[in-house]
Amino acid sequence: MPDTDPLLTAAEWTLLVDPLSRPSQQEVENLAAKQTIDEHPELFRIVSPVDAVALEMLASSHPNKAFIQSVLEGLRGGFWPWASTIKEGYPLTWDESRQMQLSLEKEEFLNRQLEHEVSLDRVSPDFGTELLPGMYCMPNYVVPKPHTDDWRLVNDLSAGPFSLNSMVDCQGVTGFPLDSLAQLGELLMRNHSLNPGKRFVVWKSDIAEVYRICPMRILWQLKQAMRVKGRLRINRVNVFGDQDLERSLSR
Amino acid sequence: MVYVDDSFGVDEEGAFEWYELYNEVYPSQQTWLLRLWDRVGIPHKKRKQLYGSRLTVLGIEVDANDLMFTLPKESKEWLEKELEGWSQKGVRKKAKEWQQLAGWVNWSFNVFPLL
Repeated sequence: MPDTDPLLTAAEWTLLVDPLSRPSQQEVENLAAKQTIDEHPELFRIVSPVDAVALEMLASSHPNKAFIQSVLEGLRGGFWPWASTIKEGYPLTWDESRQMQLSLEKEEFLNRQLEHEVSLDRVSPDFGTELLPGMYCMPNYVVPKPHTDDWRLVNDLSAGPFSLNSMVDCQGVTGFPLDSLAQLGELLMRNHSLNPGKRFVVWKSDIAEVYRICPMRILWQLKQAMRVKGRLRINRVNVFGDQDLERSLSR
Repeated sequence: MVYVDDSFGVDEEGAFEWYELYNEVYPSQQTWLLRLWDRVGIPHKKRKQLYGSRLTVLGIEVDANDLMFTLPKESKEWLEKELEGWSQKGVRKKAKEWQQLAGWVNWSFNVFPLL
C-alpha cells in the first residue's frame, strides 16, 4: 500500500486502491483442507446480513470496478485476509487453545455470547474435541469491554509459533486511510465559509458488530476453529483482531 | 467520513429529516445514511446514532459552531490524574505501561499540539 495523502478521505481512496486479496492457487489446491471442507459441509458457511445485490446496484457507477468486484466477491464467497497458510515448517493442523479461567460471571457471558453467535449462524455447531485435518485453533479470552460493565470474547491471533497473524501479509492489511478529526475539521470549516452565519451540527452513526458482518472464505474458516469449554466449533466470520485484545488485556 | 464502524459528518442545524424506523428526527445526511444502511442490510442500533452542536467524535469533543476541538472533561481529568500518578517520586513502570501512556498522550496531541 503506498503512502497516501493524509487528507485523502476514505471514500476518495477507494477510487485508487487495488482489489482485495484472494487465496493463491496453492491454497485452493490444498487437498487436505479440501477434503475436510467436503466431508463437513455443516461446519462451513458464508454468513452475512449484507445484501450484495443491493450493494452491487448502488455501486454500479463506482469507477474502480475491480475493487468493487472484489468487495462483492468477499460478501458472496468470504474475504481472504492477505494470508498464506501454506508456509515452510507450519504443521497441517495446529491447536494453540488454552484452558480459560472463568469466573461464574464470565462463564455466563460466554454462554450467552455463544448462543447469540450460533443463533446468527456465525458460529458452527459443536464438532467434538479433536481438530480435523487442515484446521488451526487460536486461544480465546473473555475480557472487560472498555468503558462498560460488560465483557467481550476475543481471540489471540498472535499466540504461539504458528499464529494466524504470522500467516498474514502485514503490507496488505495496514495503511488503509481512515477519516479522522482532520477531515472533520476541514469539513466544518468549509461549511462555515460557504454559509457564513449558519449554525451546524455534527452527527455520528455506528455500525453494530462491524467485524462480524464480514464473512470469511471457507478456506480461512478452517483456520478459525474455536474451543469453548473443551468443545470445538468453527467461527465463520471475521474475528476481533489482536490489537483489540492487547488493548483490552492491558486495561 | 468513516472510521471503521463510525461514520460522521456535518449538517445544517434544523435541516432534519424523519427516520421512520427509530421514530426520530436526525440531520438529513444521517437519515439518508441510515436508510442506505437499511437498503444494504448493515445493522445499527438507535442509541449509537447521535448528533448535536457539541458531540464527542473519536474521543474528541467537537463544537460545530465555535470550531473548537478538545478532550472531553472526563478524559482530561482522567489523564491529569494518570500523569500525576506517574510523576510521583520513585515510580517505576513496565515497558507496556509506557507504550500505553504514549498512546494516550498522543491522543491528546490531536487537540493540544503545543503540549
